[in-house]
Amino acid sequence: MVFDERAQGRVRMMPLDVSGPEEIRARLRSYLAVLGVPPDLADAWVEKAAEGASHGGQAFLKLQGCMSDALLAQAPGVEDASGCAALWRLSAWLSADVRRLATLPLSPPLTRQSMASERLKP
Amino acid sequence: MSRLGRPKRQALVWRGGLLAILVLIPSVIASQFMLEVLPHPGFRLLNDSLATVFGFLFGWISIGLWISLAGAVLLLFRRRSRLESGAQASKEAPARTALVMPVYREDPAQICARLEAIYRSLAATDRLSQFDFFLLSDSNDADAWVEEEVAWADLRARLGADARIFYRRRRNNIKRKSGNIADFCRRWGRQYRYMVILDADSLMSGRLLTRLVELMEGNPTVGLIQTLPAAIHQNTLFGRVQQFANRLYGPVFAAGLHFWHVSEGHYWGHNAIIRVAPFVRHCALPRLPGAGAFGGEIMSHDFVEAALLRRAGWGVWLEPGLEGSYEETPPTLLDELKRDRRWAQGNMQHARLVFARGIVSPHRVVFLNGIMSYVSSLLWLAFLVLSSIEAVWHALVPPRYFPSTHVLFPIWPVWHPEWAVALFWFTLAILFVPKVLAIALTAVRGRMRSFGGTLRLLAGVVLESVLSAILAPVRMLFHTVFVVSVLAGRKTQWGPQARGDSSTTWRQALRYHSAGTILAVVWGSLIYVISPHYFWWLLPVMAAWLIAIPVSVWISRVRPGVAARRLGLFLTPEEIEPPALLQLFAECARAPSLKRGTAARGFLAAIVDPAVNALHCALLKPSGTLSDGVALSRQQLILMAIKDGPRALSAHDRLRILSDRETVMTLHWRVWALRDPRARYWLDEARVSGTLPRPNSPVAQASS
Repeated sequence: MVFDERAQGRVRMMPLDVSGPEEIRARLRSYLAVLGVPPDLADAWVEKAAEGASHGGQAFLKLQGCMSDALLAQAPGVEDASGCAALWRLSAWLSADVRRLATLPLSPPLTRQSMASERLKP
Repeated sequence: MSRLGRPKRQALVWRGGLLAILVLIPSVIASQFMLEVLPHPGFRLLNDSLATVFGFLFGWISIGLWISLAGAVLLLFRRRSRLESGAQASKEAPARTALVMPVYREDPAQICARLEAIYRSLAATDRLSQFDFFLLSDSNDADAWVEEEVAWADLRARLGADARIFYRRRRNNIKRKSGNIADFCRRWGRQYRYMVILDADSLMSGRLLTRLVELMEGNPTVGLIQTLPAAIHQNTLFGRVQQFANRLYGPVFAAGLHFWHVSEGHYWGHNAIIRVAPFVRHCALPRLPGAGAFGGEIMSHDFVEAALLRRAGWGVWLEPGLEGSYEETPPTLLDELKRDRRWAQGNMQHARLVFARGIVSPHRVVFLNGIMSYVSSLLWLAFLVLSSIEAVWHALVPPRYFPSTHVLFPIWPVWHPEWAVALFWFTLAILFVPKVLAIALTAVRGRMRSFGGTLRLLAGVVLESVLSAILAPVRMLFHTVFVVSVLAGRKTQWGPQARGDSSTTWRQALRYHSAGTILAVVWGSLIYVISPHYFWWLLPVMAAWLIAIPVSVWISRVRPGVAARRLGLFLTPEEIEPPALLQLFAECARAPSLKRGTAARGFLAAIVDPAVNALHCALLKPSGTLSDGVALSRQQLILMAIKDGPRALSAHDRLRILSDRETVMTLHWRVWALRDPRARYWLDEARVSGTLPRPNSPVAQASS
């Protein structure tokens, strides 16, 4: 994860993400604390996500994996892979049952119809 | 094809004819009398113009008199609603009804508290399962969008997972409120027999909602029932006076409208129930051809939708006898005038529809009435200008005693000031009779205590009348400017409405009222110098313009409003004995909201806060397959956001980011993985309002 900055004709390469193991752990811990994840679970996930991660991007990718696994363990039918981690975060925030949340309709099914053509002639 | 029977058509015809006679004949007589009142011999064209303008104005105010008179009689002798007496028992399955609340950049906590109060009130009727709730957002601001989502999630969390309250935001808010409702009808309208339209400040009790559905079920030819919302929750002096007037005089006036219009009544765009199928079939609004203020989208859509429903044969009823319908009014004079600017343009646009094919006569009258609401101000100003010219003319030009040759006797100038005074008092009486009728009716029905008692009610009426007399010339001047600017083709913008207890600052008052003050000084001084006698006739108007700045500021404040309430002035029945729904709303507005992990709000919360980000992503559709160009443009947007932080993003960029699920998700994870200094662009920005990481935390130390 690097970003090129071209300044005064020189190219300076600098890492974009946090890279030290402690920095990565601290950032992960902060993230899970904001979400209100129980400390035991947070510790386990921090260790799992930080292990072998060379920068923050990798660590947070692993954290997403942890969340997705946790969700799928409780609600195996969820097909939206990219939304799994988001759904788990939502259930953690709302203290909602994951299975219930995964199947909850956010809007009624669409039954599209068109409105009749406009026939008002001034 | 009309669904109304012959007797109803006949009733409509005779009522329309009677009102026309009652208004036209006195107007012609008053106009003729004005000609007699004016000095003779005068300048004929000027006198004729003055009399004509006066005739129009007299007709305009006398419509109010006849409406109120009919309303008072109706309320006095009629006990049962016409719709109730005509209702038949329905054999159909319980009707599914949608409560739709279109919103545009409103306070989301307040709107959700209103929905919660309505929901709980409905739950108490055991008919909740028939109703679904829709919060239909047209907000085009990233912060407003996210906060609406959070407030909605909060509401769902409070009411339980099974609460059928849905949130939808439109990406493209074409045709504004009418387009928002049309979008609902296209997506979900097929599932509902009725929809109840709510404004962002509407409240309707569960009992009223179920009653409305019953009335619709019992009257299969009715397409729309409009309730009369009572004004509530006002604290500024201006708001409290308006609320008092609305509550005291409103029912009489609305009953009068009900009498004269019968099934060809008014629709005010909210607090009304609509039969969805005919609405979908007949009420798609056209875009009016041409440019300028008269062309384009129809702004005051409600009148037009009512006219279209009626044109298709469906009854449109204003039903003033139904209790439990509430709304808020603008808190200050300037807020009211801002709203009037939009309404003026919308109503003036109806000039193009007055003669549209198939519209029934009462709805043509509704269009004309709406236009006259604002054009009457122009006429009043024209009357003042013409009468001033007349006064100056007579002061400066010596009378001609022998206007033509071969005249044996001189023609003496004649003016009957006592006739003018009599006409003035007669006109004033016409303006005040509706108020007297409302007071009398309140007394007859034994409801004086609901307004604080007889003395306080009368004191309130006197003070309200004084304030109305002061504000009428100010409103007239503004409305004239609105009409002229509409005629000049200037369009108004769509802004959020002011609610709550906002006050007018001295700077705002100076900006908006100083032109009127200067006009009063110049005009008044000129008349005083040239025609001192006429000056006293102009004084009420000139004085109102002169004091408009301090008055506008003072009445916009909460302190005098609260003081008046403490004195028992301008009280309303809802304040003396708050209905259960309003108590419920107060409880809902105080309810604690969902605990949030960060203090970030709006767009920043959607990117930084893991929970809010998850909620926002859950409400967006998966992105699907993107073209290379779109994918590249989104990558660039993410890079720009990472490189320069949230402050570098324009309002449009923020909306673009929030509109795409993959972009929001990617940016969320990237932001949390960033090292300093770029992490600070986001996390510090959020921490400013109290989010992490804390200044002395290991993260901050390690990053630095």
